[in-house]
Amino acid sequence: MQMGCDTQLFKKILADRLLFFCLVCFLLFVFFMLIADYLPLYSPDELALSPLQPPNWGSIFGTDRIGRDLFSRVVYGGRISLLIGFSVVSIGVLFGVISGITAARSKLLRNIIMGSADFLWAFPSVLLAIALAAAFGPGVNILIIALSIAQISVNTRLVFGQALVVKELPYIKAAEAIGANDCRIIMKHFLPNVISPVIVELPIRLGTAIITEAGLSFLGVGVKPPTPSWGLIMSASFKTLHISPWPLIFPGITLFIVVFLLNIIGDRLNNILNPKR
Amino acid sequence: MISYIIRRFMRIIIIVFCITVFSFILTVVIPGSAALALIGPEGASEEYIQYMEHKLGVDQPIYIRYYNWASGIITGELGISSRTRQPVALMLWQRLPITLELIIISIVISVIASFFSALMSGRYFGSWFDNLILFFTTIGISIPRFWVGMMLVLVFSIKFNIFPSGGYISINNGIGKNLSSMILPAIALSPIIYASLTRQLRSSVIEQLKEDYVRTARSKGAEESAVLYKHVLRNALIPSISILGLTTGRLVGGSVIIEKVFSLPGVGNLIMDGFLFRDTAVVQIGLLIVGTSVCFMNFAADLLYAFVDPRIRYE
Repeated sequence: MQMGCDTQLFKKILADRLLFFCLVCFLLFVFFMLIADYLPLYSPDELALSPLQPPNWGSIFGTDRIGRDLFSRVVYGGRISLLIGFSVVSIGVLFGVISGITAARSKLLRNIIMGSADFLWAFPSVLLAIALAAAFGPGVNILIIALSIAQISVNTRLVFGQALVVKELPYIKAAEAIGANDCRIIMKHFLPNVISPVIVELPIRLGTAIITEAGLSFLGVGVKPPTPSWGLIMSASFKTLHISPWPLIFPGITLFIVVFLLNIIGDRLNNILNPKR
Repeated sequence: MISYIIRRFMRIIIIVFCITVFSFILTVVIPGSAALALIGPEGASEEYIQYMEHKLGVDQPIYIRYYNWASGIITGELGISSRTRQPVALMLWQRLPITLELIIISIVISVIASFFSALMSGRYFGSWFDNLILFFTTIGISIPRFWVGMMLVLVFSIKFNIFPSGGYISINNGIGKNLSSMILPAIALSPIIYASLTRQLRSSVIEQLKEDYVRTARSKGAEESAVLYKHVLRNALIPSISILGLTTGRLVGGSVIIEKVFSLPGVGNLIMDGFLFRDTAVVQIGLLIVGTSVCFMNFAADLLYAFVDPRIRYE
């Protein structure tokens, strides 16, 4: 699968209306969360209102168990979740690509790298996170490390497979034969084609990272209170569910919408870049 | 075929070995003395602590401790929980059936729904039904399972009071009650398996429907449902075996969260409690069990795949 010329790709993305719509929505989300500080919102820690209120004019989403405004908690929580998601995915891509290419080029390291990738890939990331948190204490850093490990191993496999194929392609050999130096070969020819399966999966990976982070924070293994996180807001809502379901409903719907958008973006992008599907 | 099995098995052995090392390293890394954890919060004299440490064997070099631990596991000596003072093996024995029941019910629900959705979706490819199913599968992979669980509790337990909101009712009290305590958790676990399986199955079904044997069967006058269920499904199922193996592994991770939501006394909840209370023995064994079972499930799926599709064996 070759990466198309950039303007052609851009035109195809514009042409697919669903993809365009979802992309715009998602970018709006991100933008909204980035400028949260400049919006007239309550602070997410402010105990400004009476607890467990349903949505009303004063606070659009209602309030949580101790009187904090849900809307601002959801927005700031989203910021944390997105930040963690982006970090996880970036680290996953960076190290996944490096180890995948290393495994493809070096027969010596291949078994170690692919063996570790297999092992870590099979292991459920939730349990990996719990194990690391049990050893080193819960926290955002542990969360990012645990989630990244899962992503690195998936990306390593993808890149390894692709690198093996691309390595033998005629035009790579041709470039070597002409005498193009190694760096140029790697950057201009090898890398773009090897990375393509990883890039295509990026939106979906981001979605997975965000959902897993929410689940882990829900369990208490991830983000620590009082930092808001969708998972934390929802786990705190559980005890008072019979009084007010809103602290459960709103973060959940927001989480669902964000991940849903990412999955549609990923799917449509995949359809465009891999038309054989 | 035999050489394929042996090759895969060797790989599994190595991976399981790595899992044991990984689980064991946790003891070494967790701050705080294991002896202190066992003694409890009252504390004790320095001599007693040293005596306990010697008894536990914590003062020996790492590889000896690993060897003792690993050989203990093989003989069934899984350690003592520092929280409940019970043998971990006993706790596992009580909890494993519950988690297994949860996973099995979840798989059964998802697979049945998935078979039907994928077959109909593939058959009516491009129709509104197909698009609806695709939409559902995207929802399935986007929706957080713990949220589904809690929403189910909100609707079916709190609002309508049909099912219990948590806790496990064992089969001894009647199968109806047992199922009523398991049905909501099982449904909460299902969306991801349903979604991934349906997607994979649907594209296989679409491929199969183009094959000659389908045309032959139809022209022979076979009923459409027979064509679909007896012929197409069997062939379409083959590539889905590995997906099923993979997702079952993820189920094990997901069950931790669901067991927490529904307060089910399963293995997942055990591991969470072990983590919360710094109960090293439990976390180690829990990780070992989960890691190994995921490995073996993937292994079984690979074997099944190789058995059914001979081309795989010669890789």
